[in-house]
Order: sequence, then structure tokens, then C-alpha cells
Amino acid sequence: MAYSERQNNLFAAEDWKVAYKAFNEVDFTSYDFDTIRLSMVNYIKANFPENFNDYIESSEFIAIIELLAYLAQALAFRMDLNSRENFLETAERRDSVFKLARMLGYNPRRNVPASGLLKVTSISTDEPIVDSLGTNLSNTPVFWDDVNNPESYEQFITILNSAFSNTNRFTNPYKSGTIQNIKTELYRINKQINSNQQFPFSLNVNGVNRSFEVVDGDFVDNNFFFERHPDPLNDLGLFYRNDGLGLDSNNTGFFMLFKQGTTSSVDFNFTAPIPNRIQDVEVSGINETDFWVQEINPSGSIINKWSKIPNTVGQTLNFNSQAFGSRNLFALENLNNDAVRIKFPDGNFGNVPTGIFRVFFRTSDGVSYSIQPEEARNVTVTVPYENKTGGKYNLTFTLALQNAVTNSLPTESLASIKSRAPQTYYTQNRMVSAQDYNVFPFSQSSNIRKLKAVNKTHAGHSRYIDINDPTGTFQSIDLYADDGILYKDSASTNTFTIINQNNTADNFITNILPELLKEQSLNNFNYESQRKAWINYKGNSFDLESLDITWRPLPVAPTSSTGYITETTSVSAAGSENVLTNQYFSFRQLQENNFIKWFNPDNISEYKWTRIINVDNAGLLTSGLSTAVGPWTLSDNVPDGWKAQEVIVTLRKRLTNPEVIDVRTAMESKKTFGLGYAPTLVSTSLYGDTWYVIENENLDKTSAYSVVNAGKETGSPIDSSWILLFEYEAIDENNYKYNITLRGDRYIVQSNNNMKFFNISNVKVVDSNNKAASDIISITTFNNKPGDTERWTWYDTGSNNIGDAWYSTETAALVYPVDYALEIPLRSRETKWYDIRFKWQSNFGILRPNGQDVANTIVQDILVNDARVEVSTYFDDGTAAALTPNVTIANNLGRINRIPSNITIPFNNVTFGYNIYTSNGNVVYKQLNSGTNQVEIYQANIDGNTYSYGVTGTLYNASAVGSLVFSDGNVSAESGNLIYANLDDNNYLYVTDSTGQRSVDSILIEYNDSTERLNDEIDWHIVGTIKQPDGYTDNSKAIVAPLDSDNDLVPDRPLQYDEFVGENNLVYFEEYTDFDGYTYDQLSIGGIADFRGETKVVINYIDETLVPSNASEPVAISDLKWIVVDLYSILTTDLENDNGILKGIYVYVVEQDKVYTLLPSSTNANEVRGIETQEYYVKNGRGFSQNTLSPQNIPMIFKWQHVAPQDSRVNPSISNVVEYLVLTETYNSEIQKYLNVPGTEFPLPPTNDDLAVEFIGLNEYKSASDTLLFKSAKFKRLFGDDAEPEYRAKFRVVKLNDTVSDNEIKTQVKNAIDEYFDTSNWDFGETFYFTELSTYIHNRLRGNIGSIVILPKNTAGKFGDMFSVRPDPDELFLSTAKTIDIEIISNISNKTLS
Amino acid sequence: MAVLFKGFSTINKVRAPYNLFDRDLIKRDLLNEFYTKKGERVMRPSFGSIIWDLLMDPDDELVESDIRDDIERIVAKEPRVNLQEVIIFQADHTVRAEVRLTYNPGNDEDILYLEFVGGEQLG
Repeated sequence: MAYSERQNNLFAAEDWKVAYKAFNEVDFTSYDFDTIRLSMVNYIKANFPENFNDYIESSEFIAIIELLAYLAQALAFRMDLNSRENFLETAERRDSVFKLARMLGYNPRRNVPASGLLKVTSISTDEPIVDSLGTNLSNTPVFWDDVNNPESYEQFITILNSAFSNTNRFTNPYKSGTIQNIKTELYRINKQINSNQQFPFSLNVNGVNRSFEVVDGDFVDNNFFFERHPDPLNDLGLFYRNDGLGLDSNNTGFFMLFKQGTTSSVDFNFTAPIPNRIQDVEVSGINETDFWVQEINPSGSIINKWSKIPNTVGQTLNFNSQAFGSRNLFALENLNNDAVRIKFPDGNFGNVPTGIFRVFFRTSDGVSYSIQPEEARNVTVTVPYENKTGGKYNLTFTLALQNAVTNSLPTESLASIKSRAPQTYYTQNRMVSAQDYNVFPFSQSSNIRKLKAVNKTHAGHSRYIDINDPTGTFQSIDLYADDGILYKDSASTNTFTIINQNNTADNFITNILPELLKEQSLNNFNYESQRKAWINYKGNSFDLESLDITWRPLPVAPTSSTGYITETTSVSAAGSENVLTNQYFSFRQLQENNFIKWFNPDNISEYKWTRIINVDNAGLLTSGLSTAVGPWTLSDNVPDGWKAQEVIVTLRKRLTNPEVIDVRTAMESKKTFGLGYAPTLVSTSLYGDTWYVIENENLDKTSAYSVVNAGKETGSPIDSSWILLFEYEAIDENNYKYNITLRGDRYIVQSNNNMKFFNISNVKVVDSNNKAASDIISITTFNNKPGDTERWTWYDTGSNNIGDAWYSTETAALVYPVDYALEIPLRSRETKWYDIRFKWQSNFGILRPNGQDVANTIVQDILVNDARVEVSTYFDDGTAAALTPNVTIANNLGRINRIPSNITIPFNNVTFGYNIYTSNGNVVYKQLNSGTNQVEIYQANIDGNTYSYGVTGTLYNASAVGSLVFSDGNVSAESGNLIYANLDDNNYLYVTDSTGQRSVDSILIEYNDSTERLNDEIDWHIVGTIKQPDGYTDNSKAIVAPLDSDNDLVPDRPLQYDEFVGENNLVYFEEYTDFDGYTYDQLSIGGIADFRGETKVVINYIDETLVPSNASEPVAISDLKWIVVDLYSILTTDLENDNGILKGIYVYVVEQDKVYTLLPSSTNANEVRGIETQEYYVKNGRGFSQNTLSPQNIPMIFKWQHVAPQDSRVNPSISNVVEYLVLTETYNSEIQKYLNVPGTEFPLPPTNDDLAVEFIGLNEYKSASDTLLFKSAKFKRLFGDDAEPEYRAKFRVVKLNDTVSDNEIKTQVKNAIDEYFDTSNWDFGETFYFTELSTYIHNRLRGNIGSIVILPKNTAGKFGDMFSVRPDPDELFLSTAKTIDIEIISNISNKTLS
Repeated sequence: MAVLFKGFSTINKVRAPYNLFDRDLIKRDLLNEFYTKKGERVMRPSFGSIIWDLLMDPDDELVESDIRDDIERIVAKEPRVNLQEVIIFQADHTVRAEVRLTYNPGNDEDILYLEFVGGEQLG
């Protein structure tokens, strides 16, 4: 240590420290002129102040310093440049990049020419040739599939066969195989020797003239087409393809291969055998695919064809995949401008070339473009050929492109080389790691724009067991869960139509409206909400029994599905059996696609539902009973003599002529109107099965659906019975718009935790058995029936038109009441008084006055609608029968014991559908006078008198007191209270009016729950998924629809929802905010106290319990989360309190369909009040027990049958499934065409099969135990009118100044949006945030716009929606916004944000 | 008087020393710029005189004004002198000028003779 230090100190010329110090004072960071000059000046200032201080610019010394600085800068720049060119990332010179890429084993690609197949549309020959009929074909064009020439096929083949060699006639091809699932055969035209090998033509492609050539084509089976090595002796390849779709199919016929570019050749004479010879071909634009080297003799004949080493990683002249022993090899290196350098072997691993070599190559345009079929029609090439006798003739082909060609590519860019070369080197020409799978395909195909590889599964499956894919992506699966919920949601649909010369009102009604009427949710609405609304309004809306309709098979048989129908109640029948026609107003419900319930009159518990398949001649017999087959066709056999009892009406999809006129008139009057559908007889001016227009003056646009005022032309906006709402919006003098709202119901199946509905197939797919199938959800028979309603009607057992017994429409049981003893049996002895609700349904025989006096009311003789009156139930507590106001249930006897002596009927002008007061202020009703045994007319006066006026209604009879008595009444208010008295007389309603409609008293017993299992599974189609406005798919839910096995828009069981969900069943939801900040809903589970039917609830503050008015079991408040009450008044009077109790409990008020949270006041914590909340809500539905207070948790067991398409099957022996998500350049250019060429259909993505064929080559590089599956990327369209309704939006822009026009701003904004959504900026499944887009637009239009906002077009949407959109994992975004979607506004305000 | 300005010039010298001091140095520096054609100097496109480009121009007041401006501009860049007067003589393709100036510090007066002859450039 000391030695070396000493030596250094004493003897070293310069110690390293000295050198270091000297360097330390030099500024090594100076590379440019100014800093170098400054460094030197500073150095002189510091070191030589005594010798020099003349630092002025004009000093000679400074001039010298500057010269040095200049030289130093130039040197530094060049050194830096050289260094940069040595690294791939920083190299700029193309030559440097090529060299560096080659060092990594990557040979950059030159340009790729457009190539494809041209179909031969006609041929002609100058050879004298005749067809089998002797027609001379010489110089006559023969067209392929010529409809005007029945001999065209034979003539076509005759001409071609003459040009084919003897061994290669049509049907005896050189080669046959399959390309892209199309059978393909290769034929060759016997071309004249030494004639041209390529046949040039030119096309104008997108306004640019480009040169093309028809070339000698060949193909590799199941793979691709290619061009053969050029040889003057070669014949010319011609393909025959047949896709089995007939001669006029685009893919059936004869085809020729073409390529873009011009073929040239250069000869080289290699006299000396030089190893590793290099020969440059300095011609620009040589394409990637077409380069051939051949060794020739002086006469030009080919001696050897040399093979090119594939242009891939790891293939060299020394080590390559050519067959062992193949030694005539060459490799290509790229030079600038797509010139090439040929490299020959060294003599050890391949032959050294000597002699004359001819190089063929094709120069192509080297740009990316697409050739559309319409740009390549009538291409003509003439091929000289020799016929079988050696005669020389010319065959002229007319060719046409059938499918767009989009495979041309420019020379690989430097950026692409820099990106791909290291990736390719990394993968080492094989795919093992996850990253390999993601990057390697780019080196193999130019048709990949974006790619993502996902490893789907893991090792461990036996070869002998089909692989399981629990996600259902590639395998059909059946999954069970027991935490299901089925519920109903209202779901209106919005759309619009613009009426103008191109789309007239007539066109809309004829073509578009029927399609709208097929909307699933609208049809659900028809069977569900609409039907229930009519039944609630008029209980017998769908009853047929009183019309005495009988089924008669024809041809005559005991039972049949064809026949005719008779009735006895029409005017012409006059009581005798008459052939029914559905043109008569009473029978208009008997239409095609409606369902009829037939019952056996001898055993009324025997019944059958059938659908009307067809009605001919409106149901009338064309030639009396000799008619061969009855006019009616049903879906099933019905025995002779069975009677119709009930009908289910299906929405008619096509309007009749008068209806068309009504709608057209409404539209052309340019006013808002509604369109309603009457499924039943409403009035003499509105029959059943009628579409009716609700004029704007009568239209209630906003209220919920109600049929109370259906078809009433009052001039007041009270009719909300529309199911389609047409809201007028003016555009200009030639165009106007109707915004259309369709009412709807949708059914949703939800699993609480156990099941997620991924990969839902809501369209039919072809499954592995080659059958069309779609996903189905089945509610299994493990589930109980819903709580339901049993109906007992007052019935005539003696056929004397006098009721005498209660009859169960369910069991056909008959019960004969005696005084107060009703004795109606319940379903179970276990049924307690609180398990049922008791309702009396009747019109009480009241006649409809329509504002007339008593006399005219009696003449009109039409009954009002039914009303329902609930009667409290209670156990039999021993109160005298005459005094109890309740229906009593005997404990453990399973029957209703007694009825009260009377019930009170509160009414107004809606209760019975009409004002029931006559102009005299009385109520007129029909009742059986038990004294005379006749139905007589009674009058109830407001003062409490109620007497018979005899059969005619004119003879006052003070001794005949009626049952309907006024308790109080208000004639002007059209309301009051009636008492239905003397129920113990057992004289109940059984009357008929002038329309033949029979009215009877009914008792409805509603069971809260049922313990019976479902009879059959209830199957549902999955029709969609629930998507949040931000694009998130809620996989716990699926939108379902009743199974429609024949797909004819009429479900197999239209009322199947009601088979599982009772009218009173509720499901409870709550919203929650997830970790991502979004709000979702989930099922609310907790203690639920259902106090429906109660009129009062009492809080016990001491025990902290709730006690309903007539229940014995108190409910602990601490266990409660929900309370359900019928009336808002119960909330305000019974539950709101000043004792600080019930805080945090949610109260659902049935009459309002609203949820309130009981919250303490901010100023007094003891004041607990109900505050309406939107975060909790309740729907009609049924599922597993959400109520934790239930003694047992009842599951809802359902099955999801998922069907996977058959086009992807998983090989069971693999260990890894690598699923590729690919966006091909081809699909992307089709998408671009869709955007840019008006009228283009939205292109379908390539199928999994297409992609598998295209990328079949990748299988050579994958790991042996892996399997590759391909899926195409999809696009989620945003903003435009072609996007899903929830993703349609418009932009509003505030312009800063007037230096730029509105149109220019719009164009610039649209361009910015398009650039933002360019696929290169996005990865699959990435979320769109409007804030990012608006920032980008602001940057692009800086100084021109002040603000930009996005507004959803969906009428249900609001400002704030669309701020973020999440696509599915396989989706990219596609903005289809147009400039009309961008509006310029002056400022942002509430108005401009709405 | 002690030497104030120390500089360097090789003009009209064949061997060291190449030192120049004070007035000689200042005058040499001025002449360096006058005798450099504007644009010739590396990285200094605005250095030098435009008079060399005016020698073939007409002998008129406009040209004379340009010459005067250029002389004044160049002298103004030299902080060690103050310009007093410029007298310009124009002949065939030749410009002569007498620049009367005073030095800072000291205020001594001196005359700088400039000659620009077409076809040759002095330096």
C-alpha cells in the first residue's frame, strides 16, 4: 500500500488524482456550441486572467475559441448520432434499424400486396366449338348462372374443358380440398408454352389507378391460396369452389387468383463459385410474398428452383426448417425502399450458386387500402391456350370480385420493427409463457390489430372425461341454486320515428309498428299488468262461461282439435244453439293466438287450456254442417260439448284497416296521441280486440296504466289506458318526429349469492347436438305454489236460473249455506284466520244509469262492473252471529264458519266503473224476490228505503224489502255507503242483463301462502342481462320471458308468472355503494312485519313491540327491518311517534307503492317521522325467504340450463386453454367502412371458426399441451342512433368566439372523439370516462371551445349519465356520433343540460 | 499608464509574441469586425460588416447612408470607444472612411481609417 502510494507520489509523471483533478475542472456536460464556448471562456478567465481579458466578440482569440466550439459541437453531434444508431430504441436510419433487428433474428416485412379471388362471370373462346345441342360457342360470351340461357352451365363447362388438359377435365381436378369451409378444386388451363405467366389488368381503387395481375394459383388444403413459382412451362391455375348454396352464391363458381403489382425479372450470371455470395436487387417496392430465384440455362429453361428461407425468427441459411437435403437455398434481407439483398449459402450448409440465375419479383404499391366488389367488375383477361388437338386459341375471361379485399399492407414501419423485434426475440420462436402468447402472433400475421391472450384453465383433466368449463364459455352447463327470486318490474321502451317522404305514416303503420308490437316487454305487459288491470276493473273481463259457448268437433268426432263453436246468447241465436262467429261483438275475444279454457259441463273440475291456432271464415261454416273441416283449429283436442270458461287475450300485432286509418289520421294531424288495446268489451263503441286511438285532449300521458277511463272521450286528459304513447315533435316543414313510449313489464330472475349468469346466450345458438337452443331458467317443482285466491261463486244447481249454492271454481265443490253458517271448506285444517283474506266481489245487481232516470235505466238493463269489498276475518270468539262484523274461522276445522249479517260497501263513481245514481238520485238494482221467485227491479233511496218495483220496475211493492240499503249517500259527489244486508237470508246475486251477461256474487279467499308443490316446472327463456347506465353488467340477474318453444311470439304458458308469484308476494331491495363508488341494488334481508289487511298497529312502548289491531302475537321491534302496511295513514298515526322508537325501520306503504324510513328529527331525537326514500324499494315477486322472522327459511330452487355454441369445443386432453381475443385488421376495416360508408350494415365479427382457420399456423409454435381458442373482439357502439338506447348521447359545446364556424367546431369535435376512441388507444374492457374525453377535446380545440357536456338521448336519462361506461371484457368502444349529435350552445344552464 | 486591455492578434505577425494592448487592441478588434463580411463567421450570422456587399452599388446617398449606419452600429458595439464623426469617401468600387473616435477611459481622440476595396478583403 505504502509502496504504491509512494511510487506514485515520487515517480509517477502524473498521479491519477492529478489527472482526475484536471478532468474535474473540465465541463464534460458541454455538447453544444454555446456551452462549449462558455466553458472555454470560463477556463481562460479562471486560468489566464493576467494574459488575456479581451472577451469581446470581435476579438481574434474569441473567434478561434468559437471555431473550436463549433468543431466540438459537430463532433459531439456525430458521436451522439452514431451511438443512437447503435441501439434499436433510438436508431432513426432505416438501415440501422434493419441491422439491429436482424441481430435479434427479426427480418422486417416489406409491403404485402392485395390479393384475392376473382369470380369468372363469363368466358368466350375463339375456338370453333359446339355444345351438345349443336350451338356454336365460338366468340360468344357464356355467362355463369345465366338465367336467360338454360344451357349456360353446360356451355361454360364445355369451353373450359376444351382449355383443360385431357387428364384434368371438370370433376377430375388436380387437387381438391377445403378452404374456409368451402369445397375447393384446382384445375389448370393448358396455357401455350412460353406465353405470359401473369395477366395484367388495372383497377381504379378509391380513386387511384393500381396495377394487378391474374396469377397461376394453387392452394394448401385447409389453409390458404398461393401463387406458384413462375415457370414458362406452367399451366394457369383456376379454382372451382362450391359452398352448397347454389350457382348464384358468391362462393360458387370458377375463380382466379390475383395480386396487386407488376412482376419483373432480372438475370445474374455468377461465373465464380463464391461462398456466402450476396446479390442486391436494387428495385424499390418489392413485396414480401412474391420473390423467386431460379437457376436457368442460356435458353431460359429452368434447371433448379431455389427455395427461400422463411422470413421468420431463427431461420437462417445454416439452420432452417427446409427438408433435409434441400441445399438450393437463399435468404432475403431488406434494404431501403423495399429493395432486397439475396444471400446465398456458404457451400457447407447449402449450395454455392454458379451459372445464370433469374430472379422473379413483384413490385407492389405498399399502401393499405380496401377493394370493394363494385370496384372490380368486368375485369377482362385473355389466356392463350392449346386444345386437346394442339390448336392454339384464346380464352377470354370476364372476372368480378365478390368479397371486399382488405389484406394489403404497407412496409413495416420503424416503430413496428422496434416494437416487434425485441418481442419476437423474447419469445424465441415459440409460445410458452403468458407474454409469449400475447406478443408472438404479431410476428406471424399482419392481420392482427389488437390481441389479448387469456389462460382459461389449468392442468389435471383426464383425456377420457370431457373438460369442464364452469364459466360456460365453451361448455353447456346446468346449475342449481336455492336463493332465487323472480320478480316483475315495469320497463317502458322508448324509440322514435321520423315521418317524411321516405317514411310516411302509412309505411310506419304497415312496416314498423308491427315490429314494435313484438317487443317482449310489451307482450309481457299484455298478459300481466294489462290483464290484471281489466280484471280489477271488471271482474268478468275474460270470463266466457255466461256466453254459453260450446265446442263442436268437425269432422264429427268425440274429440278433435278442429271444429266449430256454438253459442246461445247472441241476438240471432235467441237462446237456441247457433254457430258462433267472432265478428259478433260479444265473441270478439275468440281470435287467433288467444287461449281458451274449456271445461266439461258434466264435471266442471275437468278442464283444458287450448290456443286458437286458426280461424277461417270468422268461425262460420262455409257449407253448413257438410263443411269438411271446422273453421276453428285449436292447439289440442277438445271433447264435444265442452264449454268455454275463460280466455287469455294475446296482443294482435297487425292493425285492421279502420285502425290503420285512425292511427294514420292521428299521426298526420301532428298531435300527441295514445294507442290503447281493448282486450275485452268496454262499451258499445269500443268492442273487444280493438286498437283505439286516444286523442291528445283525452290523453293522460303520465299516470300509471289504468283502464277506468279507457276509450272515454271526455275532453279531459284522464285516459291513461294507452300502451303506446306517440309524442309529437316538430322538426321542419318536411319532417316531424314521434317519440314513442311502449309500456312494458319485464321479469327478472335473480340469485342472491349462489349463481352468476355469465356468458348468457339470449339468442339461439347451435349446440353440440346441432340443435337450436338458448339458455333456460327453470323454476323446479321443489318450489311451492304461490299463495293464491280461491273463488267461490253463487251457483244455480237446479237449472232454474236461481242461485242456491256456493261453487268452487277450483275444486268444483258445492256448499249450501244455511243462515249465517257459510261452511266453506278451506284448503287445510291448519289455516288460521290470519292466513287468509276474505273478499266479496259483486256488482250487487246494480244497473248502469249513465245519468238517466230510473225508467231509462231499467230499459237499458246493463249491469255495472264488479267491486270488491274486504271483510275482516277473526276466530270464532263466541260473539253472537248477528253481532259480529267479521267472517269467522273455526279453529282446526278447516272451514269458514260464519258470515256477518251485512257488509258495508263504500263507493264513488269509480268503484263500479260508473256513477250508480240515477238522475232521480236512486240506485236501481236487480235482486231475486224470494217471495215471487223472480228477479225483480229494486230501488234503494238515499233515505234508507229499499223496495221492489216488480219485474218491470214500475210496480211499487212495500212488502218486498231489498238487500241493498243506503247507509249514507251524496248524490252530487256521486259517492256514499251501501249496506249489503241480510246475508243470512242466503239470497245472493244471480241475475242477467240485456247483453246476456250473468252477474253473480263471488267470494274470494286469498291464501297468504301455500304448502303445495308446483305441478310442473316453470321454464323461462333468458332474453337479456341487466346493464347499469355505466355499462356494468349485473351478473346476478337475468331478464327472462315465458318460454316460447316455437318462437312465434306467443308463449306456451302466458300466465306462468302468476303460477309462481301471487298478487300479494313482495320482494324487498336496497341500494348499496360498492368499493368502486357505483351504486348497485341487492336483496334486503331482515325481519319483515307484514301488516297488510290491518287497519291499526299499536306500539307497546314498554315491551318495545308492535301489535296489529287484531293479532295476538306481538312482534319485537328490535328484530325488525321492514314493516308493510296498506295505508299511509297507519304510518302517520300509528308508527310515527315521539318516543324515539322504530328508528331506522323501513315502511312500505302499499297504497302509494312507496318506502319510508323512520328517522329521528334533527332537532329532537325522540320525534320519529317517516321520510320517503328511493334507496329502498319493493317489487311484486317471490323467491327465497327474505324474512328472517319466518319460522323456516323457504328456498327458491331454480335451474339454469346454459347452452354453449358448438363452434368451439375444448380438447379434453390439454392442460391449458389459451383464449385469444383478436381484433383483426380485416374486421377493423369493415368497421371503418361501416362508419364511413352510409348504408353499410354493421359487420358481424369473424366467427371463432374463421379465426381458428386464419391463425391455424400458430399451433406450430404453441406448447404441445396447450390449446388455442379464438374469439373476435366486439365493438360497443356509443353515442350514435345505432347504439343501444342507453348509450345514445349528444354533446353540447359552448363556443368561445366566432372566429371558427359552428360546423367547423362540430367537425373538429367529432374528429377528436374519433381519434380518442381509435382502437390503438384502448385495451379490451377498458372503462370510458367522459372526463378524459372532454380533456382531450379541450386540448384539441384549445381556444375555440369553453365547455363540452354529454347528455344521454334516452328520455329516462339525465345529465350525469354516460359519464363512465364499462364495456364487456371482450369489447372495444366505437363512437358512432355524427356531427348532428353535436350541438353548439351559448352557455350551460339548466335548460341546456336537460 | 498601466496596461488595461490585453489581447491577442496574429495579423501582420509571423511569430510570437502575439500580444496587443489597449488602443492597438481596440482598433484591431474594430478592424476585425469591419473586415469580416457579414455572415462569414461560424455560428455568428450577424457578425461583420455589410459594406463589402455595397461596393458594387451605386455611389449615391442611399448607399452612403447604409454604410454610415453600419459603421455606427459596429462602433457602438465596442464599449471602449465613443464615436465622434464618420467621414465617408466613395470611389469606384471602393469605400474609404475616417472614423473619429475617443477612447474610454481617458477620452483621447483617434482616427480609425477604413478602406474597403472591391475584389479584395483586408483583415
